Amino acid sequence: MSKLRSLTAAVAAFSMLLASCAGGQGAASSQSASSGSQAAPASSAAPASSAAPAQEEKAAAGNPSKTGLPIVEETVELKALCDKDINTTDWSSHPALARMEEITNVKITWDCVPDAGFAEKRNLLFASNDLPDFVIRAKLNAQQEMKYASANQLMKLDELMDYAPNFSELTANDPNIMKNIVLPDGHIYALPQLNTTDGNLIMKYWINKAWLDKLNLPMPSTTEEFYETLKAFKEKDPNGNGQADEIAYSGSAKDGACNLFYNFMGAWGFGKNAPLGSTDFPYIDFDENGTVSLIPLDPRFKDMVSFFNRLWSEDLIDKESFSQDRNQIVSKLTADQVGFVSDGNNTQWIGPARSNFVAMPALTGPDGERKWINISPYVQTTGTACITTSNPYPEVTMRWLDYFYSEEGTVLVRLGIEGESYYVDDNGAYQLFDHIQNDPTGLTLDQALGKWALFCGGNFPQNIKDEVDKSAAQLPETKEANEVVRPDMVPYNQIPKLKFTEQESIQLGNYAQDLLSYINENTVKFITGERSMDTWDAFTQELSKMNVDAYLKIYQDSYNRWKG
Amino acid sequence: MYKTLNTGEESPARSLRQDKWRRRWKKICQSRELYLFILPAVIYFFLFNYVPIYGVQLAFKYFNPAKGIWGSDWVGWDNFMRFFNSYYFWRLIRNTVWLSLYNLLVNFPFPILLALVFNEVNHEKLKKAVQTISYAPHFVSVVVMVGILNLFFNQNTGMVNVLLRAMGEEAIPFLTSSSIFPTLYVWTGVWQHAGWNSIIYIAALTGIDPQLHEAAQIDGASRFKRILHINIPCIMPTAIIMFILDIGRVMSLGFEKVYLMQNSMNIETSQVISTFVYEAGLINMDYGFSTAIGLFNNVINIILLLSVNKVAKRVGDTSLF
Repeated sequence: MSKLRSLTAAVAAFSMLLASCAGGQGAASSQSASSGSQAAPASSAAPASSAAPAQEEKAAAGNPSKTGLPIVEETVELKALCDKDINTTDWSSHPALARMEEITNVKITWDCVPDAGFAEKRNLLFASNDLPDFVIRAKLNAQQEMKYASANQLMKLDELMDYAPNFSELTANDPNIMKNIVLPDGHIYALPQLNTTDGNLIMKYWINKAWLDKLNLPMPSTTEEFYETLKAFKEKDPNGNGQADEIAYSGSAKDGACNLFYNFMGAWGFGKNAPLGSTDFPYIDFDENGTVSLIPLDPRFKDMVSFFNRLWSEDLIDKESFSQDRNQIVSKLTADQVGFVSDGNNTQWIGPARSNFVAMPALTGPDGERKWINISPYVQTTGTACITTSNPYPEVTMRWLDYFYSEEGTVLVRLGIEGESYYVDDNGAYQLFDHIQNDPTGLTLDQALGKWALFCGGNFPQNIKDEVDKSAAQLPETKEANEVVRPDMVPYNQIPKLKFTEQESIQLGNYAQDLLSYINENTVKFITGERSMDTWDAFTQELSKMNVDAYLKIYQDSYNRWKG
Repeated sequence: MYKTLNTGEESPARSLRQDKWRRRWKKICQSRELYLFILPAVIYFFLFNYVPIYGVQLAFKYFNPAKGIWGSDWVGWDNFMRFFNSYYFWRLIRNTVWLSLYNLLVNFPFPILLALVFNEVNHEKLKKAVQTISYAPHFVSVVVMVGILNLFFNQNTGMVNVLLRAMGEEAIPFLTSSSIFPTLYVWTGVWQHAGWNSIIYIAALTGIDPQLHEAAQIDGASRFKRILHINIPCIMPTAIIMFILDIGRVMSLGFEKVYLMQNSMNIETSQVISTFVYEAGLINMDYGFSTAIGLFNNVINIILLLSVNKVAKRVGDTSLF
């Protein structure tokens, strides 16, 4: 019996411990509120102020000022979840965030999760409703955003716009921003990364100029010429080692079959009106009138797939294109075995062989179509930061996040700390120190800068302009490459960021999984010849039985809402 | 021991039952040390295997994190119907069953063979060395294991294909072919686990009464005959129990290895129920749907386990319970 009693006692003690943990924050916040020197009534401190943001004259704890720094007089504590890029040092001891704490008077406890496990961790926290106060580098896609918002887990940020002076100014000047971040219920739940730097927004494909010169070949301008060029690469031993070890086109399509051909779709007339991005590509296209269609049911898609099937069967495409990662491509590139790659917005990733590679212009397809569709809009990434409904100080958090949209804020994110990683030169321009640019211990630029700045991996609420950007997007060769594809580019403001209602998200979850797997798998099979092109009609017939109409309707409605 | 109670509700049968319980409780008290020993295991299984069962209700719900598991809305059999009507339903079943059966048929006999062979090695040092080497791969983590696989079987630079080309053969796309995937999966499993799994049989073999062997030797039985008529029958009960346990796992293949080896070119045979559940649940956050599939999977497993157990009981007198 005594055993049982002691067990009961232990359980009771444990549950009290739990209760005190859960209550800890509430207790701490009320304490800091009541200890405020201004005799602000403690009851109006935290939750009440979100309901009535009018009485904000006093800068007591949790009652932030609308402009200027610090954000609060009394230190406010928050806990946040963030995605840590491999090049950024731990956020808990990061100098840029220490600077933020200093100037804003907001102390943040970071749950800093490495990139590889972040999505899983975030999903689990939201699924178990064990929410941090806010999430930054949140990487929410449109469906997740809607899902969490409809579960009432995300704060409506449009109601906090009074506390986002920098962001409000940006949206007032460019209505396109709102259009791309507002959800179908009319509210904003997450902040975007804004970017006006061409070098970051325009993706390119790269051809081996050294090989072209060696074989005396012109730059290809049509898909047929491209085929001839690859054939010459394969057969004429451009690397001059006497072996037929050349890989004409080494693809990076491990994470999505469409990456093999996405950059070529404009040559077959796809995406010229409103291209949807290549990540989780939905195989959706819109015509001039904005009418939706499913790409695989279009005969031009068959034409394109048979083009790639021809390249594959003549061994012009790397047989590992669907299974290799970037490192494997880089080692082939470094061994001077590759003639063409279709990845990245600059050549840095190519490694030592990058000086051989130049951007290839958009190609003209068999029907005379030519368009460059692989670009991001100014609202480069949506869903980069959100405030949860369990946050006791949403106004403070909003002001904290909003700071990054100011020039000083974005400089802190991208260049780090003045006097440590960057300085301002005589012309007033930001310059990185030499020991950051050419790190004596052999770190890359991103690694060296990651100790002082937070930009690595993107997905940050910030406003990137050419003046505050020192990344590879500013290199002369990148700017040159931008100009190669610019004449054929789809205008930035035609690129939609589609959003879905809760009902649509659920339906998409139902239809999309099977439909997209079916398209992806069979496209790969047709390209690799595992399935004969003669059975294309059987493929489209089978496909049209798979809820296509409902799927298309969701995209049509979503696009119509976006267009307004 | 009949008591007359004021309520008059106590029937003789009930008080008999009470009596039985009392006796049982007495017995438990007598051997309380033993019960104390199994208490941690009971607590463990209760906390981690029984308490979470309440989550199974998610299979019949549309999960909303703010409402929690108990508060989410019921959707009846919707999640199951969606799975059964899915275009890929039959392929998932086919792949899962085929890969598991293949795995079982190959991976089950190998440890037994290995154990029988080890048992016949007389050189003690050689035996120890070979045994250690054979189970060393078991300790390699799955991620590293698949990394090794990728290095060896890479189409251009992998050792196997380099050798093939040197012999004038065509390189084989081991990693990207849906017809090779099951074979690669299963036989690398043999390489990794056969040594380790043989330990239990080696233990069973050392437990065999040496008198049996001596008697057979006097009767002039050859080595082979002794293996056939003494060793194999003696480890049969162990083998059957292992087989029943393996059958119970048929539908739940190790998820990590399949998922790591999967790519868009071998997905035709490498998409199995566990990878599908992972994608639906943790990637697409479709918790209700993935719970439904997981539940379906477990029900099949239990049916398989019980039926094989029954067959084994009837045929070979050995069974789990």
